[in-house]
Amino acid sequence: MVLRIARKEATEMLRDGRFRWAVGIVFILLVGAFLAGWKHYADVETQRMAAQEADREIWLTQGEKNQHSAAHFGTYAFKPTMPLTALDQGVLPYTGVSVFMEAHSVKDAAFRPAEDATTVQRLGSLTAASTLQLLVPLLLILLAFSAFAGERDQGTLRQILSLGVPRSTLAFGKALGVASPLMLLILPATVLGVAALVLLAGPGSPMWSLGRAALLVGVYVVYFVIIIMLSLVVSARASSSRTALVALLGFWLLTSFIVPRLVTDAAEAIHPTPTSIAFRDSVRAGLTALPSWSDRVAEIETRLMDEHEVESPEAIPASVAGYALFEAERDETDVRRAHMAALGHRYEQQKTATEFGAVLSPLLAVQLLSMGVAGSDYAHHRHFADAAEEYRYDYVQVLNQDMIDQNAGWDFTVDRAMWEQIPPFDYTSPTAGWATRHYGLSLLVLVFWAAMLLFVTPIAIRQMNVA
Amino acid sequence: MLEAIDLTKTYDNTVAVDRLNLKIQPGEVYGLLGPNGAGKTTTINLFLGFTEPNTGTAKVGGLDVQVAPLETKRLLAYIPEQVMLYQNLSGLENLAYFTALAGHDHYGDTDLRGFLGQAGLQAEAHTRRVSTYSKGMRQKVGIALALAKEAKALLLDEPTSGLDPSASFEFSELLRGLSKRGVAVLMATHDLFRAKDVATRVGLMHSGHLVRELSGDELRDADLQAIYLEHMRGAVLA
Repeated sequence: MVLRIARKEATEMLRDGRFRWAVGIVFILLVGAFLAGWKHYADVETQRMAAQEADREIWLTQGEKNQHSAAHFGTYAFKPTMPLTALDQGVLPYTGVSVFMEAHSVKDAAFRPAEDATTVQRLGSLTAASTLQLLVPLLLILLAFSAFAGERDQGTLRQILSLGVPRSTLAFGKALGVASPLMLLILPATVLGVAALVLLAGPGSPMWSLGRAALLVGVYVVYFVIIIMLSLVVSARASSSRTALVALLGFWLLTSFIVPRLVTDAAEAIHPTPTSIAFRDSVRAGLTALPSWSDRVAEIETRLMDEHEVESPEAIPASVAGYALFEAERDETDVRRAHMAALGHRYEQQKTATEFGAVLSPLLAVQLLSMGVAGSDYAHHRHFADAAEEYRYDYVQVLNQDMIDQNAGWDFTVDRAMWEQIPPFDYTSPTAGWATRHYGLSLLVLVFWAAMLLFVTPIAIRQMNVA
Repeated sequence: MLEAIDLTKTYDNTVAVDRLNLKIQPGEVYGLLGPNGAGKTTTINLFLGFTEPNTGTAKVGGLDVQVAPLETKRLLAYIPEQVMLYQNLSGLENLAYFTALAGHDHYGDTDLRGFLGQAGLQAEAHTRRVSTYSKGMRQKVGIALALAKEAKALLLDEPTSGLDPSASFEFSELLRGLSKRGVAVLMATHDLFRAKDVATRVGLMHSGHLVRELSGDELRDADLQAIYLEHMRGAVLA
């Protein structure tokens, strides 16, 4: 009987031109946004692979030079783009897809699309994620607001309830009827998406991408179920379908735009992060507190004169420059990493505060989970940046150590054999489990919303007024 | 088949139905007469279980409506002043949907068309969208539903108001047919003429009270209008 009710709801919607248009437009937007996202992903991925190869070649053929010059010559780390970022770009436009690594520093965030963006793009670009997060719920509301209120206005509610059909059956049928155009949309999209992942994404990536894809579908399905249940509750309680529509549109507006904005501002106010200039200044202050280069050289000279029992710096039979560079790199890296860690901690605190804010708007939890599972969030960027920093420190110190080992001065040079000793940067993206654990709180809040509505919906429908 | 025992319903401070006792046997057509606000619609809502009585019970087929809301509804068919149907569906689709919801999903199109035919809806209208239907045609879909449901009792709320005389006459014929099959009918109406024509028993209701009942020869010979006016005026004076 549930299916029968769902079929009738779907038939009615299909015959109503307004709904046909609305569903059609959302479908076209979703497919369009996904294709554009996929194209962008494929382009970036092709460019990345080409650039990565070219950069390695540049490193290997840099010619004969001093180790420390090579450390400053530097190399790029390219972040493998995850296929699901075709759906959700997350913070990628701001973090970019590569970092430049050289002695003393990682230059963060090169090639950020946000740098090239015009002001219009600040309004937000159309992505599959924004369609799923904003337009699909709006469509669900438009399909579901009249479920009970509209039938009550028409008088058909009395008619069907006089037939002896259980209210719960009616509610299930209505929910299924509203969900059916959506299922027509999501099922083929999922099949196509999985096929695309398996066939098109690079080797190795399908295995972990499939788990993430399933998780992503799950998050959105739970969100849509929340919206449908809420619409049914409001429709059952509202005095007319007009009131139901106004109330639901108010909820949509509030939870899609106002609450997320307020929560983000509040998180920033509670856990403020320094501006990039302030951050750079504080790192610089930390570095200035270290011994100056001349003091460091003097200290090392004294130490080495003692060690080698010689009287003058000139007589030291070891690479003063090598030791100085090695130790300076070590100390500076400690300072820089401590600052980065503190900043990262701040971002984590902001993220947690936002997750709590999802109690007021389930969309916040969905947005965080969507980015996180797609791999386009700050945490994934940080994971990559940390790996790049590890790699940078290791290779710079290999070069500095080589100066020490070879007793090299500033004019000493090495060649390709040395460059080949340094392996290319090989980055492994974190697993789906890692991403999920990182957003455990969001998942919990989303489940809380669903559980609350699972509890409230039957009550609202039982107590619904017939006339 | 339909029974009210000391049935009472008050809204805020007004008594809508006051200690109503009523028993309608299979095959009986009971005309419930009275002005607006007399409690006729409330009585029907109580039999449908849409409102809860303060005291007393409403029974359908011997079952308390409050105790067995779904089972009693399956025995009933309800035809309001305006039978409400889904505008975007045809009469046939509406009937198919309603009968399926009533638990009779075993009917094929031919069966359903048969019921519509018995209810007097011409064949060419069956597949037309209901938005093009007249009021009388909608009532016929309601009757077809009662037939398809094999309802044992029929609750009618002003079923003939707004129908033209010939449609109204046709409706009376259909009610007589149902009554012959043993269906108990409770018809709330303003239409004294129709009530006298089709009812086997008539009750006059005022301010929630059943003030007069007429049946058999008494009803056939009565000047219903005079009795009605007398009671309503009397009630107003009292």
